[in-house]
Amino acid sequence: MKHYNIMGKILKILVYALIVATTLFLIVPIIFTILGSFSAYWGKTMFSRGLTLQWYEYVFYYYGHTIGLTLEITCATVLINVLLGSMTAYRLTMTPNRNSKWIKLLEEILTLPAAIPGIAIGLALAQAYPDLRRSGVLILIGHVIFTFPLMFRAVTGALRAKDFKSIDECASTLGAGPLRKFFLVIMPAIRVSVLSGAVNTFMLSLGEFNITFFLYTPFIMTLPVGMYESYASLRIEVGSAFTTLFLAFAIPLTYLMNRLNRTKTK
Amino acid sequence: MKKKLINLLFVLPIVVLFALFFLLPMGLLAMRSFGGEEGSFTFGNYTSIITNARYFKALWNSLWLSVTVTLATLVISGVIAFFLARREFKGKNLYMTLITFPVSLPGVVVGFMIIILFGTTGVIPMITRMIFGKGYGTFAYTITGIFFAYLYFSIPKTVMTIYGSVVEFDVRLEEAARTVGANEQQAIFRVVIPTLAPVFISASALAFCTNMSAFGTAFTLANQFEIIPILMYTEYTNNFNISVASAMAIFIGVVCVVLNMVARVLLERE
Repeated sequence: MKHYNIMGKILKILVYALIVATTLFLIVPIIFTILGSFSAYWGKTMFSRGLTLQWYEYVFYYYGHTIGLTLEITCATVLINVLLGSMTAYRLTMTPNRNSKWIKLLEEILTLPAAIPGIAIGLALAQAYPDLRRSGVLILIGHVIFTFPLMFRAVTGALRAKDFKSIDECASTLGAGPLRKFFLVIMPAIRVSVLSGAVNTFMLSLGEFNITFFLYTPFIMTLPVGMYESYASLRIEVGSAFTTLFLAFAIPLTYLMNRLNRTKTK
Repeated sequence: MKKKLINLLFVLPIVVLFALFFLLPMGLLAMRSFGGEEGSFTFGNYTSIITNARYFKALWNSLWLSVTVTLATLVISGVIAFFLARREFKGKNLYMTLITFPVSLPGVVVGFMIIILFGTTGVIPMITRMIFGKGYGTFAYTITGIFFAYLYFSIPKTVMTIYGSVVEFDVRLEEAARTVGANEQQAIFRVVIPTLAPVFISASALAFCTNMSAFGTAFTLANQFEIIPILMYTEYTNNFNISVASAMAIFIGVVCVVLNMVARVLLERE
């Protein structure tokens, strides 16, 4: 019995060591990325030559355009999918024969992009529509297809959680048409789920690399592609500054997402 | 009539979009993957993944890398998820937000995190130089670097999946085991883990699929190290071997779709 106690203690110490090591592994590089972005020279030590903001100036000067383009693509993706995702989910949930195999098949296809690797979707789009690459519209379409399942699932889940069918019928009896019902009755009722789906979509589109890498051109470059380029060919301080700019978007959005998830479960 | 038309309008846009920009391109990709020279039908592009020595090496690298990362992820995430589900401490919410944050990082950034840790001027070499006078652990651009990079994005995701199911686990089963004389560890290993086996299997299926298809991370660290996603990209861009690249894309795609389905069925049964 005593022998077992010692084993148990060793196991406990090992468990704590593993947890501490993993936590450091996940958190430390993020902290050092932010610190390193302000270092004038990151060599054997980090701040031997003091602090600077020059790497941020560098990133804005050479890669500023990627930030604007990414925000355009990401916002457009979110808008399109909030509209299309909610509309489709609403219609399919309210259909009288929603368990028919055709509806099931349609739902399977619409959620398939979540399971297929980005590089396969990217390669498929690049081969099918080489002429659409130059305008950048193919990147937008790729992002819409790739993030659609997320929004669709979020809204379908919200619509199935409550008896929206009777609410919908009730609105019909009072004389509301499909558009009025959708925008004035259904959407306000599920707004938290739609908003959390929208934030998720924003995050996914903002960081999307695998599809975009097959579709970008030197003139149409998104932020993650720009980050990749800076990691591959520029100083580590530049890469750190670029990454910190990305974190400046990602950290508040994650916080918002957690808040929304908590309101939903309440 | 007008109502039916409006109802149709709710679904039609996405159906058209998916038909043109998802089903059609994927169909063309599949056709390409069966295309031989002069447009004949062949399985040659698929069999070449095994018969061609360079392709097979990449497949082998991908497989064992994915398997080892998945196993390591399962152990580490399992421990953390149990710890979080069973212990209350101050700042637990904040801690969980912190360790699950890497989920939202793109693959390329995960690669950069490994450069920050294990690159030539990385954190680990910096610390070891301070202690031992010589820098150790500069393996960011090797297979070890890729291993740690895959761990970096696999752990937070898997912790979230397992944590959810451990929290929902019926504690009465465990209490029953404790009443008949099992200690905490015995109860976990004999009762909790076997009951939650489907969750562990589906979490590993998802982790394995992500590891098999991850591109940005590996590309940032070692675009000369051959694994299937990187080889697919080089065949497509540098060697113009589009049919083989298509076959590799379809291969990874099918593996991932099947594993996702397995994971879903297991989770739904749970």
